[in-house]
Amino acid sequence: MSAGASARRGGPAATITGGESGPHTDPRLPELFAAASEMASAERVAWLAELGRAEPALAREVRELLAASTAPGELLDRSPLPFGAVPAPAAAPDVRPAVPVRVGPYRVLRELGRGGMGRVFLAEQEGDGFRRTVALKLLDAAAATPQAHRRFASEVRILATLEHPGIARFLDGGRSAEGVAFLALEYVEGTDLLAHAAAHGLDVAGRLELFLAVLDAVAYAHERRVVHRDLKPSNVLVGSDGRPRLLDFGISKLADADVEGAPTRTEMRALTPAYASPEQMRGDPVTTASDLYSLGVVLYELLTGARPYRTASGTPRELERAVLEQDPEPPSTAARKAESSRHTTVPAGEIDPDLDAICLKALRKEPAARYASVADFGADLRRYLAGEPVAARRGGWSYRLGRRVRRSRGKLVAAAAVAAALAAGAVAGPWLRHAVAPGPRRAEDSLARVAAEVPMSRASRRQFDAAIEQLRALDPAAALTTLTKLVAADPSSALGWDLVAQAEAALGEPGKASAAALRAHALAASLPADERARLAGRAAAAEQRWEPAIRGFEALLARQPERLDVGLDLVSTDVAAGRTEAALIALGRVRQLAAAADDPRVDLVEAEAALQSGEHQRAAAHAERARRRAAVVGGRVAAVRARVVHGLALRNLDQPADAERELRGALAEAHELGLRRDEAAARLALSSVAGGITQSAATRQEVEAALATYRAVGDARGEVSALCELARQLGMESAMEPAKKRIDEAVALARTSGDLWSLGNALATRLVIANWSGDDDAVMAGMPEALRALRASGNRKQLLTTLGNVSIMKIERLELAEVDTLLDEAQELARQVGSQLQRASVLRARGYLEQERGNWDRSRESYTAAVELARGSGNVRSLANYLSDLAWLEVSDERPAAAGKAAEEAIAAFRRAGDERSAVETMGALAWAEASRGEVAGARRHLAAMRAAIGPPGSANDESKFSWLVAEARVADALGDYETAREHRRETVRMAREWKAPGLLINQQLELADVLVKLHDPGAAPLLRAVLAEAERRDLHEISREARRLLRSASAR
Amino acid sequence: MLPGVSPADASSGPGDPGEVTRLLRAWRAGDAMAHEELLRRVYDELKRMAAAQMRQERGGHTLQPTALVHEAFMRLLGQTRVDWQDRSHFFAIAARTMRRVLVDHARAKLTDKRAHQRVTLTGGGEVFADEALLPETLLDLDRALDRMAESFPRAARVVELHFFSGLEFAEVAAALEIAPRTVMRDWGFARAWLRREIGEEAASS
Repeated sequence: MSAGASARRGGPAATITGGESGPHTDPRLPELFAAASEMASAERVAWLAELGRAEPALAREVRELLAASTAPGELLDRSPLPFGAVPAPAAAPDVRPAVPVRVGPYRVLRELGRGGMGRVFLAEQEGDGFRRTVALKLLDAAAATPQAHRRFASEVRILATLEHPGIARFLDGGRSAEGVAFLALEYVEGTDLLAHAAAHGLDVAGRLELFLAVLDAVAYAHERRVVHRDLKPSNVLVGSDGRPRLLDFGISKLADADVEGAPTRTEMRALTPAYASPEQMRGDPVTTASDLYSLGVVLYELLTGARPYRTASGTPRELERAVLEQDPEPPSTAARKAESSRHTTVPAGEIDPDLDAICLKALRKEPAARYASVADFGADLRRYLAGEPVAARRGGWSYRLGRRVRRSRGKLVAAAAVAAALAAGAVAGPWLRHAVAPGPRRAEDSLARVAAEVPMSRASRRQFDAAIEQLRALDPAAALTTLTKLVAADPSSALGWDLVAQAEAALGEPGKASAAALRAHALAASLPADERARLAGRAAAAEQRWEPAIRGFEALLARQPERLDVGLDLVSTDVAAGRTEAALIALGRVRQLAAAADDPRVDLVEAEAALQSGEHQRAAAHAERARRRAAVVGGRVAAVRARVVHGLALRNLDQPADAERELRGALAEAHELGLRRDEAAARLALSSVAGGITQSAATRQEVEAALATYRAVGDARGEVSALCELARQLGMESAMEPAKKRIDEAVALARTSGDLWSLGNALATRLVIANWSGDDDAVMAGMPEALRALRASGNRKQLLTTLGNVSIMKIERLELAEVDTLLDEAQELARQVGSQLQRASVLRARGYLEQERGNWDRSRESYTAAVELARGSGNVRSLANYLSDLAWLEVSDERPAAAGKAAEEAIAAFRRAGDERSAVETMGALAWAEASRGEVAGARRHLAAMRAAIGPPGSANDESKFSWLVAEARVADALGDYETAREHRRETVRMAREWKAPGLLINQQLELADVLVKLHDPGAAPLLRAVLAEAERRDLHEISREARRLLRSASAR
Repeated sequence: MLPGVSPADASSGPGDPGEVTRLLRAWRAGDAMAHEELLRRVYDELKRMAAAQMRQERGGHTLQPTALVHEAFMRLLGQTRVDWQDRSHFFAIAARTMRRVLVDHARAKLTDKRAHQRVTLTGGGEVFADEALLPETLLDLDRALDRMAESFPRAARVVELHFFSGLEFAEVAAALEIAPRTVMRDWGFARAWLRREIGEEAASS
C-alpha cells in the first residue's frame, strides 16, 4: 500500500481479500480498533503513530473510527424502538444481565452494587506503567433511555467540578467505544457511615466528628451550587483511614439549573423515602435545605439507631404522611426506646437537650425554619462539641425574650412624593415648543410654515415671527410680551393663542397656558385639518382629558411622523398622565428624528420620564445635558428647570449635598426670573432633601408656600405632590388629623386629574399616614389599589418603597405568607432602579422577616448587609435605623456584647441625624446588654434617660413608653426582680392589645407568662394555653414550642 | 419463501409449539429449510400480534416491538422453561426478523408519505414513537449493515442481535456461540464503522 494513500475505497488492499477491499474493509480493523479503544490516551497516541509509519491508510482508518465512536450523536446508542433498549425478558430467569468484561480502558472485576439507573463495578485500569483500581459506574442498558443518558451525563459533569477530600474523587467519565455510558471514581474500600460507627463503637463525640466531615463535604458541594438530593448513610463510605467520602451524585443537580418541570416520577422513585425531605415528598422544588434535612435524618439515625418517624406498617404512603405531618420525637427519647431493642448506638443519657435541639432544627418541616445552611448546621455542632451554647436551643428559648419590640409605627418609609412634581407641566404639554436652538429651520418647525399660509395682518405677522424666534431662543418671557400685543390686536388668531399657551407653559403657568390653549382650539375652525387636530389635542390635555389627547397626537404623528413638536406633545402628555412606560416608548420614537438630536427639550422630557420610572442615573444624565445645551443658547428658563430635575435625581441617588446645592441654585435663579412654578418645585424638592423626622415649622411653611403657588398657577400634579409632602411632614410631627385631611385632599385631586402617577403617589402616602395613625386595617385595605396604581403608572421608585412598607406591615401583623413574594418583587425593583439605600431597605425588611421566623443567622446577615449599604450611602438616618434593628436582633439572640456595640453605634448615629427620640429608644437594647454583663449602674442610667423622655399619656410617645417598659422588665428579669418585671409586662401586654398589634401582643404575653412561671403565679397556665392556641393558629412554631416548654415547667412546679 | 413449503403451512400459525421446537433443532442440525420456515412463522406471528395490539390500543405506548419478539417466542414455543440453546437460536432468528419488520415498517412509512397508503403492520405508524429512529436513517442503517456483512459478517450479526433485538451482550454471545468479550469488541467496532458509514452517506447525499 502506498504511503499516504487516502482513498478509502478502491485503493490497493493492504493485505488481503481482493479488489474491493481497502483499509475500509480490512479484516484486521475490528481487532485494531478494539485494541486502540482500550488504551489510555497517551498510549494510544504512540501506538497510532507507530501504526501510521507502517500503514498510514490503516492508521488513518482507525483514527476515523475512533473519532466516529466518540462523536456526538445518538445513532446506535438508542434503540430503534420507541422505549429505549429492551430489558431481558422477566419470564426467562435463566438469563442474567451480563457483566461487561471491559469498558474503554477499564477491566471489570466484580459488581459492587446497583442503584436505580445502573450498576457499580470494581474495575481496574492498566495504563502506561500504572494500574489502579476504580469504582466504575455503568448505565444499565435496560435503563438507557435518552433521559437516563442526560441524567448520567449530568452526574459526570457535576462530579467533574467537585474536588474535596470528603467526596469520592472523579477520575473519568463519558461513553466507551461500545457506547456504554460510564463514570470512573476513586474506589473507597470501606463501610457505610452507620456500619463504621457501630463497628468502631464510636461515642457521641466520635460520631459527631465523623458527621461533621460529611457536613463539610456537603457544604462544599453547596458552595458550588450542587444539591445532592439523595443523602443517606449508604451514600457515605468511610474508608480504612476513617475519612468519610460522599458517593452517588446520581440525582444531584445544580441548584440553579432549569427545573424541567416538576421532578419526574422516576426521580421520585429514585429518591430514598426514609431520608427525603417533606418538600421532596411533595414534589416541590428541592434546594440545599432539603439536603440539610436529609443530613438531619442521618444524624438522628447515627445517634439513636432509629429513624425519626415510626410508622405502624411502614408502607410508603404511611411514611410519606409521617414525613409531612408528624413531629419527630427528640433523639434522646428515641435512643431510650432503642436501648431496649439492643441497637448498637450511644447510650441515651449521652444525648442532651442541646443535641436534641440541633437535630430537630435540621428536621423542621419548613425549609426556612431549618439552619440557613449546612455550614451553619456544622457551626452549631462545633459549638456543641466545644461546650458553648448552641444556636438551635438559644433560638427557641430566646425567641420570646428577644423579638424586636419596637413597633413599626413611625418607621415606615414615606418616599417624598415630589420626585417628579414638575413633570412636563400637567397642562399644556411641553414647555418650550419650538424653542429650539437657532439655526437653519427644521422640518419639524412646521408652525411657521403653517402660519405662512394663514391670513394675518402685516403687524400680526411681524409679531408672530418675532415670537417664534424668541421662543426658539428660549426666551419665553420676551415672546409672551410680543404675543400679548398680537392677541390684543388680533384676538381671533388661533395660532397666536397657541403660541401664548406655549409661552405660558414655558414660564410655568399651566393655568394660563390651559386657558390660552382652549381659546386657540375654539378659534381653530379656519386652520388646516392637521393643525386643528393638534390644537384639539392640546386643548384636551389642558382639560386633563388624557385619552383623547394621546389618541389625537398619536394619529397626527402617524400622518406626520417628522413632527418633533407633536412627538414632544405626545411624550409630555404621557408623562403628565402618569403613563411612564408609554412615555418612554414614545420617546424612543422621537429620539429617531434628526431634529431631536441636540434639542434640550427632548433631554429634559426624557429626564422627567426617567425620574418618574425611578431611573435616576438616566434622569440625572439627561437633565445635566439639557442644562448644558440650554445654557449654550442662553435659555435660562430651560436651564433652571433642568437644574430642578437634576437636583431631584441627585436626591434620589442619595447625594443630598449635591442635590441641595443644585436645588438652591435653581431656586435663586427661578426667583430672579420670576418663575413661580419652578421656584415652588425647587422649594418642595429642597424640603424633601432636608427632610427627616425633625422637620422644622419653617420647612412646612415652605411646602405650604409651594402648595399655594401650584394652586395659583393651576398645576394639579404639583398640588398633589405638595399635599403629599405636607401630609408627610404633619404626620412626622404627629399631627395626624391635619395630615389625614391633606392626604385625602391629595387623593381626591389625583383622582379628578386622572393622573395615574399622582394617584399612585397619593395612595401610597395615604398608606403611610394611616400606618402612622395606628390604623393598620386601613393600610391593608388600601394596599391593593395603591399597588395597582403604582404598577400601572410605572412608578417603580414609589412602588419599591410601598412594597417595602407593606411587607413590614404584614410582618408586624404576622401575615407572613405573602411577604416573600412581595419582597422578591421589591428586590427585583431595587436591582433595576434602586439606590443603595433602597436595596438596603429591602434587605432590612428581609432581616425583619427572618427575625420574626426565628432565623437569627439569616436575619443578622440581612441587617448587616443593610447596615453596610447604608454606611456606603452616607445616609445617617438609615444607618441608625438598621443599626438599631441589628442591636435588637442581638438582644433576641442574647449576645450582650454585639447588642451593646450595635446599640451604641445606633444611638450615636441617631443623634447625628438629630433624632433624639429614637436614640433614647435604642437605649433599651443598651440597658439590657449592660444588665446582662452585670453593669447595673449603666443599665439604670439608660433606663432613667428613657423614662425621662416619655411624654404625656396618649401622645405619640407611647412608643417610647413601651420601649422603656420593655427595657425595665428585661433588666429587672436579668437582675432577678420578677415582681417588677411582671408589673411592667402587664402594662406592655395592655398597650400591645390596645394597639391591635398581634405580633407584639403574643410576644408580650409570652414574656409575661415567663415571669408568671418564675413567680409560680397560677395565671401562667391559662395564659400559656391561650398563647399556644393563637401561635398554632398562626403557624408560629417557635412561639408554640416555647409556650409548650413553659407549660411543662409551669405544671412541674 | 422456499419452494416446498406449502401455502397451507404458511397460514398454519403458531399452533404447534412442538413443531417450532422441532424446527429449531432441525435448523441447528443444519437444515436450511427449517430456518426459513422458522423465519416465516416468527415474522407472521409478529405481524399478527402487532396488528392485533394496534387495534386494541391505538396508542403506541403499550406496543414495544422487541417485547413482541419475546412474546412471540413464548407463544411459538408455548412454554417458559426452554432449553438455553433453543432460546438463543430462537433469538438469533427473531433478531433478523425484527430487523425485517422494522425495515419494512420504515419503508412503508416512507411509501405512506408519498402514496397515502397504509399497508404496514401497524396500519398507522404509531408503533414507532417520536423518539425512535427516523425511517430514512433506519433504511440507511439497513443498507450499511448489508455492506458491513460483506466484510465483517460476525460484527453485522452482533448489530442485529444487540441493536435490533435488544439482546444483552451475554445473550448475543450465547446466540452466536462466541465469547462475550468478542461480542463487545465487535459491537464497539461495528458501532464506529456504521456511524462513520452513515455519516458519510448523509454528508455525500
